[in-house]
This record gives sequence, structure tokens and C-alpha cells, in this order.
Amino acid sequence: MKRWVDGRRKGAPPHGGRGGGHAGELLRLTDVCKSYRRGAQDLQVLREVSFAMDPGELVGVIGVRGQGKTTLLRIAAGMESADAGSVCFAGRELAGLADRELSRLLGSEIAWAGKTGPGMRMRLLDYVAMPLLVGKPVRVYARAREALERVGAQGCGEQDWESISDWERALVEIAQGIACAPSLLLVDDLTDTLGMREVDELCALLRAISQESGMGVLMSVSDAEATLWSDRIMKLASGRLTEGPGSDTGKANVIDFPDLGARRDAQRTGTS
Amino acid sequence: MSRTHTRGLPAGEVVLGLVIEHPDRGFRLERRLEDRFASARFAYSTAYSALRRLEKSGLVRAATGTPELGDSGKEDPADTEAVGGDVVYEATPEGVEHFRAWVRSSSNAPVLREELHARVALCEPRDLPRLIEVVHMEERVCVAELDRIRTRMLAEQQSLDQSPARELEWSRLMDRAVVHGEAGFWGGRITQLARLRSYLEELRPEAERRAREQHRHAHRRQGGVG
Repeated sequence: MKRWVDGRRKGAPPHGGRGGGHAGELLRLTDVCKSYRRGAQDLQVLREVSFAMDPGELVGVIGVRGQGKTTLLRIAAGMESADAGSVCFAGRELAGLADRELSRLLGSEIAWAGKTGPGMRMRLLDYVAMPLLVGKPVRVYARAREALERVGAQGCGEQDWESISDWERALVEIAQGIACAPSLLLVDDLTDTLGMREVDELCALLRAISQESGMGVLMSVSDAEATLWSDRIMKLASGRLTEGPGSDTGKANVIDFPDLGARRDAQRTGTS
Repeated sequence: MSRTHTRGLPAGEVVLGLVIEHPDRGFRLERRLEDRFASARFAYSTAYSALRRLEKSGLVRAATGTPELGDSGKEDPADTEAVGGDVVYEATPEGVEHFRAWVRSSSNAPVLREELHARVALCEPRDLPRLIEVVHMEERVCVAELDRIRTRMLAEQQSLDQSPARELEWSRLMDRAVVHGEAGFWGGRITQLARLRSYLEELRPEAERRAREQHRHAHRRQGGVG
């Protein structure tokens, strides 16, 4: 039996509704702000970003490079904390969790697929199995093999990162992501090294996995083409998030975040 | 006011904007139009016909008194023969209002690049915040377009999932290529607008400072008269 199918069960919040957000909701960000210190300057990367997603949803975030997509994903994963606002995963406020709990969450219920690779020479089956070593390692290789099979990259298990193509690398990253049957998978810019038809195929694969397992996927992309397969499109520009209309889920969360300064100015000058 | 369109850019509003920026003679406005909006490729003597229409609608008028011409002097004798060649045009209060409304307007349909750029080029410091908003709205319009394409694509895919055929028909395959092209187009447009907005955002403090200065100047002039 394929383990990630269990994701549907996992997708339901274990502590329904606690810590804000309604029952059944997988992830909710509310007024998240984040800035980094660059020399003497404070660089504001995210400004009052709010959105929510459900289990089984595939959400694509587009935005120009360097405008906070990866930061948004890292905060959703609990890899980084927000300066202000709240991140609520399956009913749990991430800010309220101890580091130990956070790192256990990542690699069991939340998974990450970037395109970094192992960074050292190793068998890719070991690479895919790595997150499964967190907590209690059970059936580690079997689950890693199943994940590779699900994405159609079973042939890569015995190879190393340097010897496979960009397409296979993307598949291996997704395999590593789904190996632990997470309820939330964060996919960071996996598509930008791929050909256009490969982008189609990769997104169709993510869509199929999320629909069969109930796993939510939050995916950042630089090309608009990669959002064609998602349930929703969100745009991140200069730290603010814009959600396209026609949200299938009909969730009436905040759609847009106009700059506060601009709003003030508009009031001051009035409209003509 | 937008009868002479060249690739979507209304000559009337653009010429009106140039007049507001700086009152001028017809032939000089014609040249400024060519210089500033070369990419719109206006036909020869567009400024003249636009000025005639603007005058008829009461948006511009022949200036009274001694006009303050910036770098006046070199007049082209051939041009002074042309219609309105030696008249200095200035905007009427209605003209200023009309132009400002155009710069500040927004719509639910995508705006042509030339038009948006003309509005940016001729915008006054006090209208920059509004223009940033307009660009932001335009981004949302483009996200909505992308969203429409996505919805169509998913519906199409669902019908394909149910059909038993293993291979896509050629025409379907080509349709998909078009869908990709469309998505790429709107994606590129969104990127371009986001960058433009970032640039305008960086000018915000500068615009605020200049708007304050202009406001002070206007007050002082009024004070001197009264």
C-alpha cells in the first residue's frame, strides 16, 4: 500500500479549530510581516500577508524573484518565524511550538521540496529517505522507494545527483517531499529549470498526488505557466499578496493588501 | 477626447498633458509629442488636430499675456505658417481637471501599455500615489486574466481525463500551446507591472517632497496677488 494515500487522514487537523482558523483548514497565515536586516537597512520582505488553504488544495504563488516567495514558504513551513502576525497549521499556532516540536513537524506533517539536492555525493535513495529519519524511523527504505515510484523516478534511486537530468532532479525532490506523507508540501521554484512541457507534467503530477492524498501543496513559481494547474493563483509583489478572483473554495479571506501609505494618500487627496 | 488613437494611445489626452506640463506653440508641441512618445508612432500633425479638438471642447485655449516659454527663441518659420503655429496654448481649468481624471482613472479591463506609460510620463507629483494604486489594480486585472485561462485549462483537462484516448489530438495539443502562450503573456505583463510599481514606490518620498514644494509655491503666488 502506498503510504502517502494516508495523507487524507492526516489532512484533517488533529486539534480541529484551535488557535484560530476554521475546522478542516490546513494552513492560515494572518497579517504576517517579515523583514531582514541588511546593513543599516531594514528590508521588509512580507507585509501583512494573509491567506488560507484547505487540504488537497494546490496553490500557486507567482512573483518576481527576490520578492519574498521563498520567505513566505519558509514561514509557512515553520523554518522561519514571522516578525508579526500568526501562522496556524492544522489548528496549531506555530509560534507557540517549541523548536523541538517545530523540527519534528517538518519532515512528518510538513515537507519541503526545493532544488538544492543533497549537496554531497550520495545515493538518491538515501537522499529521499533522509527526512524519514526524523522521529521514529520505520520502513525507511520501503517508503522512500514507494515515493520514487509514485513520481516515476524509481530508476534514480541508485544514482547520484550529478548524474541525473533537471527533470529527474525535480522528481527526486518531490519524492523526498512526499516520502513522509505530509499533509502540507511546500514546493519552492522547482519548475524554472524545466522545459515547458515538463512544467505541465510536473504540475499535473503534483495535482494528482494532492488530489489522491489530500495533501495541500503551496508552490512558488517564477513562470505563470506553472500556475495553470493550481486551484488558486496568488501573486506576491513587493511583499504584498494578491489573490486572483474566482477562488474555487469561496473562502472570503482578505484578497488584497494595498499599501497603507497609499491608502492614506488617497484619502488625503480625495478622488476627482 | 480620444479620437486619434495610435496603437491605443489617445492623442488628445497626451497633448493636453504636454500643454499642462508646459504651455507651448503648436509646432513645439508636435515636436515634444514625437520626442516623448516616439514608440506610439503618432501620424504627422497629430498635435495640431488634437489641439483643434481640445480647443473646441474648451480644454485648451490661446494663452493671454506673455507666456513663459522655457527654451524659446529658435522658431521654425515653416512651422509658424501652419495652423496655430504662433499661438501659445495653455490648459483651461476644465482641461486640467479632465487630464487629472484621465491619469487617475482605472478600469476592469487591461489597459494598453502605451496608455499606462503615457499616464506615468505625464503624471504630477501629487498624483503619484494614485498612479501606484492604478498600476496595482492593473496587476490584479492581469492576475484575473491569468485566472480565467487557468479555469479554462482545468475544465479542459477534466474532460480529457474522462476520455479514453491515450494520445492528445493534434488540435488539442496546439490549443494547449496557445494556453501556455497566453499564460506566459499575462505572467510577463504582471512581472512588468510589478517592476514598474516597485520603481514608482521608490519615488514616493521624492514625489511627496515635490508636491509639498509645489503647494507652497502656489500659496505664495496667491498670497502675492491678494
